Amino acid sequence: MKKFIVISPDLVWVAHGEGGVTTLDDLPNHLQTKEDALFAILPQMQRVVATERTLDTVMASTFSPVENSFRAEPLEDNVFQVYVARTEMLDRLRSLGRDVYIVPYPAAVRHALSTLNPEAESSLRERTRVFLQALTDTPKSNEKVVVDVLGQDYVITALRGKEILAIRHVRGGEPVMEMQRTLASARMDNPGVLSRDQDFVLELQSQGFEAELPELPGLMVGESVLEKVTSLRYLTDIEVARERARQNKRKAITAFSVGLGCLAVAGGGYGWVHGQMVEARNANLALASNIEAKQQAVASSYQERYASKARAESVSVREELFELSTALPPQVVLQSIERDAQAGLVATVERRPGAAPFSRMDLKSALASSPFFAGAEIEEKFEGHLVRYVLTVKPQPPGAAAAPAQPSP
Amino acid sequence: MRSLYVFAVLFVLGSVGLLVLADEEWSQKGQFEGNNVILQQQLDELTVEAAGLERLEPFPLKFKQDTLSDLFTRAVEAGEVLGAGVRLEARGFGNMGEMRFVEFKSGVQKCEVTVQASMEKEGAAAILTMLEEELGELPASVRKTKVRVMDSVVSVSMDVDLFGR
Repeated sequence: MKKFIVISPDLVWVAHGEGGVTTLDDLPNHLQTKEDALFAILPQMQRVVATERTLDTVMASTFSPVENSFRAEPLEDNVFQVYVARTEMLDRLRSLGRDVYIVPYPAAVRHALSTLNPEAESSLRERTRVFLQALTDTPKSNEKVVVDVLGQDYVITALRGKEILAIRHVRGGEPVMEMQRTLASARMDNPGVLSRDQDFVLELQSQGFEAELPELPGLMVGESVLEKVTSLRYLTDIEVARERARQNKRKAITAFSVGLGCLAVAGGGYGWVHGQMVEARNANLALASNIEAKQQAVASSYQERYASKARAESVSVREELFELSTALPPQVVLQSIERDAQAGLVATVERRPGAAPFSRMDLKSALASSPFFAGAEIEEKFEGHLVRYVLTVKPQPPGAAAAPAQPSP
Repeated sequence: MRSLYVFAVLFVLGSVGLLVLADEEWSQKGQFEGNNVILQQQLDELTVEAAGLERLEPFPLKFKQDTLSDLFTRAVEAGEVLGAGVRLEARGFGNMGEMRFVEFKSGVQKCEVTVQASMEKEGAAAILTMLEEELGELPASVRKTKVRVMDSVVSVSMDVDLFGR
């Protein structure tokens, strides 16, 4: 593949073989067999703030889309570096060969610098090391100026990191002065200067510039790596259409994948939730079934055994009645006896009229040995000439049935 | 290409639908779990109740009409044979004088009655003993007994809960 660097219509640098200088009009003589060719051109640089979607609109408002073609690369979020070229020039170059690649020359210069200075593309570990070194060393500037010297013509390329600030072709004049103009317009402060022209480098060093001669093949810095930047080549209409089709396909596949991923995640989530719900429902059904079975068992047990419980809760007064009929002294007579599961045992005795002297203490001592009334509270009631004694025995709490009755004071 | 977008949209819509269903089933799961806690408590209570019943001696309940018949036979007729006038009355509000069994526990029905007896003072204790023993043979629980002693007559009133199936 033959390589050319088109600096101006009057100056084309032949970057293959022995090299040399020619003109645009003379190029067909170099490509008589319609072979493949790689051209590097000096584009107009533009820094554009836009999104990928709005980039075409923004560029169309600045440059006529019919007369200009452009190639863009992202610098940072929503900032693009655009290489603008005349469509007429591209068409003319494309007509010269069979498969023609046209790339922006500043991109080749930047690639050549990155091969010289790998730290520019350093890894995280290397960046950390550089950061530590920066504590003691002065940091190296990422500003570079490359000056290609072709006789009386100079191609000046100014770069700051990945961004290409300017590219100028100067014919004649004072090269150092032109370079300083470039530095001033690009607002650069003492950048490193590289050139393949040894005399020019020595002149710069004598004037105090930090200039060096890079070890690269060819007279121009970027000529050896032109084929490395073909990813930034200007595309034909067909290639643009293919590129768009490829991007659209990628977007469609991405959308399909995202949709499928969403469906998979939602399906997985639904499956998990459904499993949990079914588990809870089955537990509910099992509990309901167990309760039904247990209720039937309890109902059966109640029918089988509840009468026993009812009989055990039954109260009786026959023994208490017999006890009082024998234990009461002759001065009193039993009026009533009542037993309630809640209220306990209550007996009422009445003093016989005209009976011998009798007191509450006499009644208490008479009942002191009674198994039922020894601990009874005795209340004395007077109604006219009648004296009644109300004996109350509180119901014993469950479990205290065996405890002996204690006499009350 | 367009079909891929159509599929993507369908997938997203399907995802939304699945998420809606998942949300619905999640709330159902919460309801089931809340219900399960209540059911588990009921089951535990029933288990404790069943264990308590297992400790009791077997004494099968009879059908409610048979129980009433037994009560008449044992209490009223036996009391009259011994010389006591025995009377049965329905107890509780809303019974309108009718002896009715009402649901008491699962499988158990209860009828609240009052047994009243009047007897001569001589031998009253024996008749009372007989009455209590006869009631003890029945699936019944005497809740309250009141004995009033008058000059020559003894009046007995017993609140009895009668159980049948």
